[in-house]
Amino acid sequence: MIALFDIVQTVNATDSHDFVALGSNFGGSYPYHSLLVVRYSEMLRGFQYFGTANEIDNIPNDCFHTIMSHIQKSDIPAFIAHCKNVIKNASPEFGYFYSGDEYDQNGVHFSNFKGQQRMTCVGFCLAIIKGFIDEEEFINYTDWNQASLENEYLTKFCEENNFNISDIESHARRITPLDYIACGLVQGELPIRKKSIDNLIPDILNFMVQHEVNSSNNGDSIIPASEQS
Amino acid sequence: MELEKLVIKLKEEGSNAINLESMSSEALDSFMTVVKALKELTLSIIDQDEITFTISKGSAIVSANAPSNLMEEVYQEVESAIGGQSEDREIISKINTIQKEIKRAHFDYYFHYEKSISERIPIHNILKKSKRLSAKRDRNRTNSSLVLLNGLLNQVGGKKPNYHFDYGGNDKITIDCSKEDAQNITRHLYKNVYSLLIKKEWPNADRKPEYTHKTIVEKRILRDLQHFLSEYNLENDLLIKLDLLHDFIDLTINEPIKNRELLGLFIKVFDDKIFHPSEIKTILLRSKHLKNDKEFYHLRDRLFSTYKKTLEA
Repeated sequence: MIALFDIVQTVNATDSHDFVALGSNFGGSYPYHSLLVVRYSEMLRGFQYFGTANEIDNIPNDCFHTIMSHIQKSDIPAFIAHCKNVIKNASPEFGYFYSGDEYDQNGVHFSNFKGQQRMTCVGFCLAIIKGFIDEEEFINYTDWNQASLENEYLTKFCEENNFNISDIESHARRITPLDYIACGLVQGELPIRKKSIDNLIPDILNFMVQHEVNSSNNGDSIIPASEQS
Repeated sequence: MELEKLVIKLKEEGSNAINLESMSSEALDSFMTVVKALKELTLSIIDQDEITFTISKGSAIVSANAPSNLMEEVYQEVESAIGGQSEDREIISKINTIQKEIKRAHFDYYFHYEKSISERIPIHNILKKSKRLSAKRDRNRTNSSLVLLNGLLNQVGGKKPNYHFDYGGNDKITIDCSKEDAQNITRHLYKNVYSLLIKKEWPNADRKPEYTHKTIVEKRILRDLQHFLSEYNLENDLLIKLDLLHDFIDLTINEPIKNRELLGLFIKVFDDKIFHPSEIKTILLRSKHLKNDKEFYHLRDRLFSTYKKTLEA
């Protein structure tokens, strides 16, 4: 069971400590976009791939986050500098692929899907995190497979971009904004396994439904998660 | 000479003094932790020849005793740490250790600065009430900085290894170094060299700055490094400093040999507890690919353990 205070509406995190968090924007009770949320020196910053890789200082009201326990508080300035350095060089293109992608020490993209910076908003955040942590992987990405993709996605992608399915299918997978925000609830050793977040998903959805979140909500009517017992 | 003291006294709940001759194992552990921390705290400021310690019988009391000017200095450091003004992570970590014991439920600790029998300044109350102490975030006031100095290298050696830059007359500076460094430096003896050093300055202007050797800088990267350091040292905002660090390393991305040389230099230079963990983490990050490099893995491992220590502080 998820402790309710573990998922926090970002705009309400004004009196908390510094953190690096996994944020997802919820349209209604289901998330549609993900970003990295960092609080440092009383300032909130977001790092995301939303059409382009960028930094934002206005976090939308519909953003909720879970705090990453794998990044030390005193490393937060280094994490911000790493994100900025990645954004300087990154040029991601959209696609449901994640193959151990990483933005390395030079902010240069690396993937097993050679020559392709194809990713989702979640993949972008995962690639930044992977480049920062000491461990080899943040999530055990091979736990996700093509079954997570929408029907016909790969066929269409290959037609449009001139690929053979057999060459790229091992790189294709969808790690959803819901899976992503759940990763912040997992403590302990890395990499995070899919099975350890699967049983958290219903609780998260339940939590969001309870609070009738929607993207037009200004957030004020929602009881801050941090104040609930 | 009149000695001043820092005194810690352990009483059990209900204010019965613990008998030093018959302590529970829990009380003994706690008391020993405090004794060790008090010893390390005072020795990090006062030379061991200038200080004595007393453990008193009848109750569990430990005191550090030193001449008033020196003990005054220790007290000021403690006060500055409690006030959140200290940047000295070593001192803060020792006080944190003492604070943790003071906060324990079943013990009553008294901790005071004793200028004389009639003048005692209590410290335990404020430590009990305050949160865990942390280092002052503002690096602006740091007394330690990275400096690039040029000089004629003279007299390498000594029991406590060091070398001198001689500027003629009586004008010289002494630079502390490790034995290993001293051996390497010998080949530059009587030559004009540029050294990258940590300069430690005290608020008291009478006390001479101390210099610690980091590395000798080769002429080919001298100018770039000078330019970088002049910006880096002037900047007080940690986030901007880290951007400068990334930008400087980025300049060499397309020149693998230069990049490697620069990272090798930074791995040595940033291996010091004066730096913020994020500064060291940034160097670790940028040198991730040298993790198993024959030439650098050993130094990088050392940098990693220094980084771990700065996290604990």
